[in-house]
Amino acid sequence: MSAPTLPPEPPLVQPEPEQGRRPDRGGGTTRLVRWLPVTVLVVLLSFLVVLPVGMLVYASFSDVAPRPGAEPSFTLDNYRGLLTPGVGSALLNSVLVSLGGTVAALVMGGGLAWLVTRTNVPCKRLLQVAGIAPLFISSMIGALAWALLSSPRTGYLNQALVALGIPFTFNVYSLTGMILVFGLYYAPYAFMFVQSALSLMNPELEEAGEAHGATKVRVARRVSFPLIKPAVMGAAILVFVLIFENFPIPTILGARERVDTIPSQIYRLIVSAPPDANRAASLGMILMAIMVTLVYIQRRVLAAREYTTVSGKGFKPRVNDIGRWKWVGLGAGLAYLFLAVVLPAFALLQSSLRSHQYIGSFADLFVLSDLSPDAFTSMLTYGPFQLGLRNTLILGVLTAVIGGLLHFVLAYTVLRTRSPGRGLLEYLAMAPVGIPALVIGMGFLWGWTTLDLLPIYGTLVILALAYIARFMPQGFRGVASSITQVHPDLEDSAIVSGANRIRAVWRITLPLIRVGVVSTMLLLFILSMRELSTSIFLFSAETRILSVVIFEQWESGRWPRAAAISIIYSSLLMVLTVISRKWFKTEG
Amino acid sequence: MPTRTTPAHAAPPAAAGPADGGHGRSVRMRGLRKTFGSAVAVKSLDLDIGAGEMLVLLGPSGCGKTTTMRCVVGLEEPTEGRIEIGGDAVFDARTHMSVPVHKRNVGMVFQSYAIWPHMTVAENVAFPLQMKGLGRREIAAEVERTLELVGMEAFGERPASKLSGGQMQRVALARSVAMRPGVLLLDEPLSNLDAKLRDRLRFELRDLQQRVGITAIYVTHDQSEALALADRVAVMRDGEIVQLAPPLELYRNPCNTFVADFLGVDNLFPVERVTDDDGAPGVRLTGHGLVLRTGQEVPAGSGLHACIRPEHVRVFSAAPGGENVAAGRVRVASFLGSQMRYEIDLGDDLVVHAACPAEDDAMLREREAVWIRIDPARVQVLAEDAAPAGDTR
Repeated sequence: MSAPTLPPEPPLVQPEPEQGRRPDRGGGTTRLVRWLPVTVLVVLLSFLVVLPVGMLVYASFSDVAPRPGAEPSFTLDNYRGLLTPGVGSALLNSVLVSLGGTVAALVMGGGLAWLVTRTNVPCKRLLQVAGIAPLFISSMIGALAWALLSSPRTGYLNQALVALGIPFTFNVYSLTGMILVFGLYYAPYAFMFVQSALSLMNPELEEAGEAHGATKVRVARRVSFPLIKPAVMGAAILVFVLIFENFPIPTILGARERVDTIPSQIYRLIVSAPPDANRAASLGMILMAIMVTLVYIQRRVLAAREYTTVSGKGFKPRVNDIGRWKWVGLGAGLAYLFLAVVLPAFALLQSSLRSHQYIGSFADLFVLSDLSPDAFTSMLTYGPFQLGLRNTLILGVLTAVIGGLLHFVLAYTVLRTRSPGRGLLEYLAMAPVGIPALVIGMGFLWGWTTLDLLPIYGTLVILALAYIARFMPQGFRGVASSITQVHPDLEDSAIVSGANRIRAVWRITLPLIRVGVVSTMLLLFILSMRELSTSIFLFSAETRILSVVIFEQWESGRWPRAAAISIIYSSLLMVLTVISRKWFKTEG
Repeated sequence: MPTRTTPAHAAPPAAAGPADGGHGRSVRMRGLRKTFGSAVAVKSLDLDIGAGEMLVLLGPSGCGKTTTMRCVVGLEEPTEGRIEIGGDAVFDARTHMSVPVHKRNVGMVFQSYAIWPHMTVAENVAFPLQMKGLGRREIAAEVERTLELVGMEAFGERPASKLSGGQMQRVALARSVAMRPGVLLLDEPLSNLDAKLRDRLRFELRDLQQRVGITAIYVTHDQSEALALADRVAVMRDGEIVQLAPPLELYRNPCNTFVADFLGVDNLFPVERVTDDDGAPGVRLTGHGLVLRTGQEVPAGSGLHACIRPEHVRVFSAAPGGENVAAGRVRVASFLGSQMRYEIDLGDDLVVHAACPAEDDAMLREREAVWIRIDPARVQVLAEDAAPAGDTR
């Protein structure tokens, strides 16, 4: 794993796994044995993927919200209802925010990746951490912290500007504010993708350019950049998609000035009284259509990437001496760390420690007598927090264990068997890349309440299943990439040695990919802990999770509590990640 | 072990079996065909391998040799045909029977070695024995014995990931020998090693196979490996066996230009038949005036080629007497240690390769004027696609 903390979220940018030789395991198998596992998997994935999307389509053409006993009739009114200036401006805002956020994320994350990987910038390890650390802060908490820092009059940062006598106010409740926050918290994705593209490039390709008479600048322009361009483009589209479907940031930062995006509008349509499920569904369809289109384009872009990574082997990348600019680079990296982690942490701490949020001036921030740890100590007796913490951990474990098992069986079937229908399986497993998290939440809600197959609505099970569906591309890719690293001969030779298939997998393949599978499970665990967008439609009083608790505290304006839980929550994420990283180091 | 052979098929040499009654079994393939979609990997293969015989499948990549082997072990399922091991069918397309891979008792050494890196050397070798359900003590003794056989007895406790290429090779061999397979398959096992080690292991492999008395199918694209190891060589092209013969016979009498070319005959010239005034057989090199007399009659057929081994081209610095003499000039002279190799330009774009023992004092230099002479008995004329004489396939 090249990224030291979180393994890179790999759904789209990884090249198709190399298709190893598929051993013919026809020997003695009957038709039933051949079809049974695939059929079971297809049915399972249909519940996870096809059902929520189907419910969305259904609701978008229906005149009543999906619920048991409803008698819907077909209508196009939901789509006609979208032709309003409100939706138009939300769409425009979505595009603007995503474009701006993507550019900002690429400049910050990509620039930092280049500095760390290809230059002699000092303090590389620190900058490497800086590139990834903001992942501990979920986008919701980033938005909350920046709301504290930069709300027009009371924001700590604006107070500081006043104190310094600078006549300038940065209002985070604006498009620019959203773009900045998106840029800060999506930069780690750009960082990971660009870094992996840069370190996968064979330095001999550049050396050959120099040997054939090109200057360093020309090598960069004619060789290096064209080689990583597809990867960067792919990363850009991915970041765009992630921002485009993000719901917490525009909800938190757009509420005050009514700056709507498509996801925040969907959320409002569902939670408004009375809810307008059908219009929300049609809006979800628009969101999904755009995402699917973008993902398709991204795949096309990446198909051209094959030449980039001439070999998947890690090279020691060439390091360029950038002279005195390295201090500028270090400064920029530290500035990013400051803006994305240090300042927000400071703001959350400040807010959590004061019962009265109002401060008259910047200097008041440092009056220690105003501070009290009440918000933290009250957590010891605050029921929703304790319930949320427990549920969050249980869900993380459920998602990681069930998901890990499912993804292993899936990836093994797709990569190492000649089962019919494995192409369909891979397609279904990767499909959630194009499905907005909100849509998965709505789809599960409508699907499981309407069909009434199993009484899982309102339990943690439905949340775990929704998480597994949402993170299936990451989980599947994670396990698949470790399976492809194991030569098929290794398992074949066990079978030749007299082991049946299950024994060969148990004794050979599983032990060999253990590290990859466990790290994918940890990724699933951490992703589940950060989840909000899918859960927001699925939680019940008994199944609140931490992110929902924080969101509710914000909605009801209880800042100290929201900030305190945010700090505990982010620290927990950080500790878990650091521990797992340590553990993997010793594991080799 | 009763070895049933059908007279219609080139029978394996009777003497191939080991003296000490090894556990090798015979293999018989009939009408073996394997297609991948529309691509035909193996056309229709009939092949008999005697108990204790080492058969080498030789051919360029994509000729179907590895597919054939994987069909025998069961990692590929043939589209058509029947495979028997020791007289018992392990696969028959007509009756839809197929013994699962893990029950065929066929050992295999993979090109990648496929040594399990998470186990020690001893654990690797013990694995097939554990699968057979042998007792702990029995396994330990067998592992030790087998590791001794390949000279790896000192490495039993070493993690398998900390081995060199040659050591991995030996472990892979030990692992597949330990299970006492009826047939041992070797898929280019030496191709990932450096030249020196390859030469040494080649000898060891042949020695081991003879001592254990195992039936072996060995796949390679390296002709010298094939000639050195085989009891018989099957040269394959496009999913078919072109020629099946013991190494010496194959070397001396390649049946067509493909085989000759694959066996490393450097001098292959397109020719046409000529009849001399005195009726002696001969050929004229196409596009060149040179006429060569041949030892035997020139066969009929199209696409005739004269085929002359470099060591049969004699080089002189003064004009010699005799037949098949031509004047030329040394273009490249290269010293290969045991021999000198020359490329001699005979004019009109005709370059002849010659090999001379290097002890000859008379080393020639580049651009020097020389004469060559080729014994008519050494000029073989082959058709492009002829089947070997006496082949009844």
